[in-house]
Amino acid sequence: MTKKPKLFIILCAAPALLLTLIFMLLPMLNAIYLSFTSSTALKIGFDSKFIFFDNYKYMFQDPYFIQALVNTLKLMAVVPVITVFCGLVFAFILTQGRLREKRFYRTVFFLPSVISLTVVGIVWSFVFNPNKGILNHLLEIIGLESMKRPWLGDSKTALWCIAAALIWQSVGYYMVMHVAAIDGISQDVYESAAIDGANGFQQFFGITVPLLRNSIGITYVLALSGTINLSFTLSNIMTAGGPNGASSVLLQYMYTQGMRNANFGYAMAIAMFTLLIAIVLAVLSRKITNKEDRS
Amino acid sequence: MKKRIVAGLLILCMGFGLLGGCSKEDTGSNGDGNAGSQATDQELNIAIFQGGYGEEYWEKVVKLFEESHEGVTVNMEISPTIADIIRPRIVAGNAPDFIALNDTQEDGLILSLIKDRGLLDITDVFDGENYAGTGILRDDIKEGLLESTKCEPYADGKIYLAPFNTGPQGLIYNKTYVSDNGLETAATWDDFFALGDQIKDDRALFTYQGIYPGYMEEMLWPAIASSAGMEAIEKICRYEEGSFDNPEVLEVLRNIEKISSGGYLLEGTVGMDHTESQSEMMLGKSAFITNGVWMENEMADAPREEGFEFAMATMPTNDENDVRYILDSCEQFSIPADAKNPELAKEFLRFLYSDESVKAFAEASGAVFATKTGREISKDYLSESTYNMYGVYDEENTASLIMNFEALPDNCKLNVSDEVFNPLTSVMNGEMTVEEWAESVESAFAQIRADIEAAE
Repeated sequence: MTKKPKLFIILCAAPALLLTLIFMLLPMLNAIYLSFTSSTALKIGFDSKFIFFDNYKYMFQDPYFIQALVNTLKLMAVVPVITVFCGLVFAFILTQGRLREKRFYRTVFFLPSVISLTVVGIVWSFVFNPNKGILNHLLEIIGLESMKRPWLGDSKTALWCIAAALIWQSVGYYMVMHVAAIDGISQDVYESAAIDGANGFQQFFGITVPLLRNSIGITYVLALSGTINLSFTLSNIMTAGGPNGASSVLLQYMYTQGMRNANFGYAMAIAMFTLLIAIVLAVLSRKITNKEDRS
Repeated sequence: MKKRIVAGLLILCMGFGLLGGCSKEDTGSNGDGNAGSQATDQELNIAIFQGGYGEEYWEKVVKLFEESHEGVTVNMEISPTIADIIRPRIVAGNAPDFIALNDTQEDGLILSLIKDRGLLDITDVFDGENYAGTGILRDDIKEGLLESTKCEPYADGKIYLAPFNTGPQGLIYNKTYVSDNGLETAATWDDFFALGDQIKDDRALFTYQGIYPGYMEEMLWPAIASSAGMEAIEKICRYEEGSFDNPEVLEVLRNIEKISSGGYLLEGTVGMDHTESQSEMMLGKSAFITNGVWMENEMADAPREEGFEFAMATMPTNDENDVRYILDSCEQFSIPADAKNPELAKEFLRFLYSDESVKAFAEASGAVFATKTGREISKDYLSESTYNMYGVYDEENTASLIMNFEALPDNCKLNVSDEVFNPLTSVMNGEMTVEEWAESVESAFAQIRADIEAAE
């Protein structure tokens, strides 16, 4: 029996634990506390009044908050589903398909997720540019001129332009995760299915999806939190909150209240609510995808 | 062995990557070797917002100040994100001695300093002698600025913010295009739309900085002042009930809406940012754009149609005999209340209004200080068109307008500019009527009034 070097383990883990405590846990507790106060940029924490749930009460009556909440929920309903599904499909094609340029596609699809998100926002702003953007030009070339519009300035499309940029940016990331998961499925399973006459479509829905249930659950939760976080950057850069708030998202409203209006207390209340939504959805998603495993 | 060399090189690269985060922020000489009692008296910490005017002027004026003040060291921090840099320091009680930042900035730092009464009363600087010793500083400053809420935020006669540069904002157009085609800039709204019909086959009449509808303040407030008078503006600045939802203001809103519904707005405007809309205008896609005198400098490297020359016209009015109001921009200086070296900061402020400083600013930035003699002193350093744009005040029947919004109370969750101008985009898109626009501003005003009452 080897003696477990307890002291050594503690010493190794201590720095990381300390950093996590100082830079993640304490600020979070501070944020929770601030959300119950009337803190502003210059009167933070103990300098300000403790106002209990006033911030939260105001929040639910605040039309701008409701608008940002609805926009974020819309994004969260659509973006993770499409991202994970496309990631799965691409992963399946790359692993089971007989493409020679597999490595090339893997790199190309993964590239958007390593580019700075700000750059992604700027590039897609140019794509959607009403006069110089390639989207309007493409529509013109294929004869769909009537569909041309100021994409980022139209309240019906501004939010979905952000969704498009978000999906493009993260598909590759989840694709790679799914590739790793699919590699864990033994090739014999696919071979016997092929022998039994299953085509690609049936293999995908009959083998890949059920066996990858856990991985799909994890990537879905990651995509949810990614949507909440990343939508802020894109919304800020591409539309500055969109025509009259049509593409404003929760974190962006938090930023506006915290940084522009200096209402730190209120901003933290919004942050806490966002955190709550994220946790609830994450727990729900894991419960649903884990159900099959336990049974 | 080869793998180790490659690994080592990669680690070096990562290390250099970390250095990429280092940026040149601190400028200013550190020649004074005297530590101890002399140091605090002679050291000035200034924080400057680096905007469209660049850093050349500041570097120059810091040098001039240090040269003319023996033993003084100025530690300057200049950055486009200066607010994020100094905010934590102010909170920690380590505020700089002097700040050059506007109350209209996105970061809201000066606004929160105003809300929290964190600025020093500098009325004595203006009631005292100017730097050259030739008179009272107040008399040197351009009229109307010191009494506005841009400088006296609490409207109590005490100055807390000093004017930096000021300039007219109006309808910028290409002088060459107008003169070559025998056109005339419009005096009234009817003329304006008639002009739009006239040039319809060649270019759109008007564009603005789409995703930043706040720029339209340059059109809205002068138009309201011209048609409903300064009393109407003053009521709006006090968020009074009915100040926005009334027939005169609604008429102005309808004219603005007509720009879009009548087909006079450049297509795609609502989706463009300021750089795009400005360059579209310079390329001849639109005859007019709302903007200020900084546009020439800001778009110095941008492509433009042949023979393009900047010129500024005033906003259209209802009747040709109405007073033509021009919205003034006013950038600001301030000194934090707990600055460590307020006296030296005040001396620096006085120095900034001296002729040398005004000239240095014109030369480096192509813009004019907020002094009465500023424009003439700067004449040699401004381009002819910029000089002429500043001269728009000399036109017949014009008046300067400074928006004097009452200071918002602490904890107010609304931003006046957003409340007034965000709905404009929906109106331009045809998704909101002007009545709904006025109603939404009125309910925002009602909320602000409630917040002001609650804070008292």
